[in-house]
Amino acid sequence: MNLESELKEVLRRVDPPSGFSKRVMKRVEDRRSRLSGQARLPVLQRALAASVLIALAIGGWGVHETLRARNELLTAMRIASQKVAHAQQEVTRR
Amino acid sequence: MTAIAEAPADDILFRAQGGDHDAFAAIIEEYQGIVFGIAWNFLSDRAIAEEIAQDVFLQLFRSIAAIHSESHLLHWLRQVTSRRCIDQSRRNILRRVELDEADIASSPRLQDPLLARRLRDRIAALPDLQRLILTLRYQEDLGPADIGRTLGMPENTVKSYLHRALTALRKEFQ
Repeated sequence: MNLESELKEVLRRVDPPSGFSKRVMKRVEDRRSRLSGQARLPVLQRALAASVLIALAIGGWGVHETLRARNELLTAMRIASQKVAHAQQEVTRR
Repeated sequence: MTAIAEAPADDILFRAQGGDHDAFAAIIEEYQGIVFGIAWNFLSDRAIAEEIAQDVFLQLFRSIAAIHSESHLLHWLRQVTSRRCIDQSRRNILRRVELDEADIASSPRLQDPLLARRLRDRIAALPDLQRLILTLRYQEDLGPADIGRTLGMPENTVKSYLHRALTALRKEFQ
């Protein structure tokens, strides 16, 4: 027995079962689509964060405007009250 | 696909690096026998050998930009497959299976299928590194220096492992 030639025969190159390259390419495609999905995720996250900030800004602006209107109304009432009080004093004095 | 199959290997490599999937599939077709062969000859398990071979080509897909020639590709494939085989063996999930009769009977050159089976069984019982070195020596026809470069070990260490493996086999078969 020639051991070296038997070893070459026993340890020969072997092709995998048919369809191997298609199976690998499918995994390549799966990986690519998964990675592109992951790449899209930060865009979605950024869009969501921007929406929240805009909503907060609009809400904040709304609150600010309400407070400003309230303060203007109070000031107007205070002025009116002062004028009424002044008029009363004048009437009482005469 | 025909045009790709007939193109020079370096040209196919450059096309694959440019994102051509047909070219990458052609590379798989060209080198699958080497990658699957090393895994199968080392592990004697078709399912795990296929899994390892698939993982090697997926890794190649990710790393293909770093490959600069056909000879580099060949060296890379042998090296990565060998490392994965050793890792698999170290994880101790190697399932020893009965050899498929069809694998032995399908070879038209085989003189004695029973002898081949005994030889395969005996190779499977060798320590990991001896078995891997034997596979690279006889499947890939590599010399000790090339095996050393592939496995990252000195040439003399490779020679020593090879000598021990052949001595063990000769004791039984000669």
